[in-house]
Amino acid sequence: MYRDHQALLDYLSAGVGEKFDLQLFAGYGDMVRAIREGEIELAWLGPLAYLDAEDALARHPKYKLEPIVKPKRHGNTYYASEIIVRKDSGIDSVGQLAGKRMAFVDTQSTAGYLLAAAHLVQSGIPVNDPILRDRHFVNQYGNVVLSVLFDRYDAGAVFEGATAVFLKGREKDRKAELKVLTQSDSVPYEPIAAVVGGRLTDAQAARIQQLFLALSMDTTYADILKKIQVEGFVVSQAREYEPIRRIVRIVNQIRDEEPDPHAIQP
Amino acid sequence: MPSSPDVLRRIQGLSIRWKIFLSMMAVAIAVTVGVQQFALREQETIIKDDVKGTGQFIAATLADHIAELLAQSQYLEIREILAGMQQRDRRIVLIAIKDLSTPKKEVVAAIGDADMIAATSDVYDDRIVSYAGTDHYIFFKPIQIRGVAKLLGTVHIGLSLDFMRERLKQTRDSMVAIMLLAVALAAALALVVSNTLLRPLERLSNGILKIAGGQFSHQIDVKSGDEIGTMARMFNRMTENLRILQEVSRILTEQAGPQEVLGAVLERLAKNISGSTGAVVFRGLDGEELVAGNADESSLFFLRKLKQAGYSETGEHPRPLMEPARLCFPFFSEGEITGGVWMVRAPNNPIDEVDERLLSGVSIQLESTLSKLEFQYRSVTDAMTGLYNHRYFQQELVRQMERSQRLSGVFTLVMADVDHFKKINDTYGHQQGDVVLRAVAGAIRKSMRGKVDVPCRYGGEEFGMILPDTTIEGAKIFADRLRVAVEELTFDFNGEAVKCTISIGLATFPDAASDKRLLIEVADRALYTAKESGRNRVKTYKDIS
Repeated sequence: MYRDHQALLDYLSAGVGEKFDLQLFAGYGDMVRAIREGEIELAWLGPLAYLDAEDALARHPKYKLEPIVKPKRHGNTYYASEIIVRKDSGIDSVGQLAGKRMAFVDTQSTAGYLLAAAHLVQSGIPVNDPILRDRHFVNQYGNVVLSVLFDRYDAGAVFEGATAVFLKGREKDRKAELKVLTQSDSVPYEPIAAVVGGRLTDAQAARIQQLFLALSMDTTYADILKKIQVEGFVVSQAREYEPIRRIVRIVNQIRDEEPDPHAIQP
Repeated sequence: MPSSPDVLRRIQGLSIRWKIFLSMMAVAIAVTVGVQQFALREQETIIKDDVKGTGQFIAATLADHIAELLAQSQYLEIREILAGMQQRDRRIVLIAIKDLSTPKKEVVAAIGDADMIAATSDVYDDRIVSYAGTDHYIFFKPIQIRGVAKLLGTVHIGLSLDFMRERLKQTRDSMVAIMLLAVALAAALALVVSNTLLRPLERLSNGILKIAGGQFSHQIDVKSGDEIGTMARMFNRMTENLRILQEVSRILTEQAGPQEVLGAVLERLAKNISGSTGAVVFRGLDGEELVAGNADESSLFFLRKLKQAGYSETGEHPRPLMEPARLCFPFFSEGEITGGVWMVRAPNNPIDEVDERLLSGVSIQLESTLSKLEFQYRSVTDAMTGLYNHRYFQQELVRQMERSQRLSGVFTLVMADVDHFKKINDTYGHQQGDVVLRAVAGAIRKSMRGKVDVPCRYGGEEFGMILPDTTIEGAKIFADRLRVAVEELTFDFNGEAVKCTISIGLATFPDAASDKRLLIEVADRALYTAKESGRNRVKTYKDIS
């Protein structure tokens, strides 16, 4: 992890004129707390965590969290959740998923849970339907794909194109057994946010934004991007992430309805 | 293909060197092959047991470890575990995890060949399965969460036994190397053994051939202290004995009388025995002892007792006296003990069988030679005086006449008669008369020239002497010397000093007579003339009137 990000840090340090260090956190909660304490100046955090952190700093006298860029992957800066089923399952519409068994990644996964769960609710599946009530979390996207392939679950929530990514080796010829039943609304990729108002000035934040945007302009930085598995960065804005709040609210209904021990994540 | 008697015959026909070599080879190969087979079988058992233990442990541990993950469909995590396991143990060629909660009981995580996984999926115990020409140990274990009866899935693990074949091959290669080494060592050993064994045997056999060719002086050079060395030393002593006996045999043909024979033989014998040796011959009617070499009282005592015991009764050859340091073989001839030969050693150097054989051989030769000599001696000797008898006198006279005629030489016949012998007999008895005759005979022997002159008892109190190559003048000198010698004899008959004289007549061949009967007659007439002219005189044929 350190090795993969060192080139980026060196690049930023040289561009800003101040040394950047990498700090890793065990979970989003720890990172949010560090932001509030003014311990970090730049945070690369998931959409949900960003919203949590933004809420936490809303009334902070000094610090303010401002998204400056978001990554671009596979040509996209937005992503959606896909719900996959076996072709031979006989399921052709979202409505048919009622009463079925579905595999999710974990409660914090955007594409692997939030977007799909919200999509189900928005598609008319009651929040207390067994498919939502007995949510099965299998930890990884790959497990979701495989468990649907092996017919252990009727459906699964994955990111776009996950089937092609995970069906390889022994299962590479079995892609045809699966199909994408539906796709959720898109949300932007996770932002890189600057903590302004403290040690970092607005000018410095703007400078950092320029530095990120410049990475995809110049091929000499290809290695930096390759290491962090990103095609480039584009400008991100706080309002882009607002729709996610609604999604969270929908999903939280499920959680409120039926507490699930699997949902309690650090 | 030769039959087994053929093989046996061929083996028997091989040299000892080949026999030793082949038997050592056979032993080396048999032992190493035996050990190899045993080691390989043991190693295979150990490896299989080890693989079995390992496989069962891996299967059980894996089943336990992934139960929760399988329950939660965390296939990728399981796959990572499997990949990690295969990296850690290269013997693992197959792992297949079946999820029994999927409708088709899908293999959800696997390592290894798909066909092999399919081929072994119906194995529900631990067993060795042959697949694509290779043996694999397949282990089966059901997956369930501890304390929960429900079966979640199954584990199949396949461990390749290829590495075992590889190790067995390594072992076999090592064993073959050891075997070659053992065979080489056995060959070297066979060479050493056959050399140490066969060189002395070859020397021995060469020696035997030389000795067989008559080279009794050949000594076999074998220094080893083993049985062959002992054999060679015995053989050397034996040839030495043969040499001695050969020399003794030669000596016996060269020597004239018993005294000379004994002397020469004992002298030769003494050279080769570390000890003393001696012999005795009992001669004549009164058993005169002729001792030669070192006298040994024990042996002499033994022989005398034997002689007295009179072995003539049994007719068997008497047994020798055998003591650790003394050996005495008696001579036996015509039912009589005629003497014996002995050897005496220091007590710390006892007599052995080879010594015994040597002395026995010498004894047999001496016995027969002495017996022959004694017979000759008796046939030509007058028993009472020890001089030649009348018959020998007649034969010798003929021989001398022939010799003198052939060489145009001369010899003189001496006839002597004891004066007034009848009166001695009548006055002192026949026994005293015999004493006188023996004394005169002694005087004759002393006066004569060793082996040249021939002294005989002609009959009664008359003696005849042949002096070869002697003229009448020479004979007169001899006769006078003899006459004086007899005249000087004094006998003590019952305290009385008695004297005697002889009268002597001489006749020279061929001057006096060229005929035997006539020559004796002429000599007798000369003797008669001496008697007539007053006795104690010497007269020649020329003095006959």
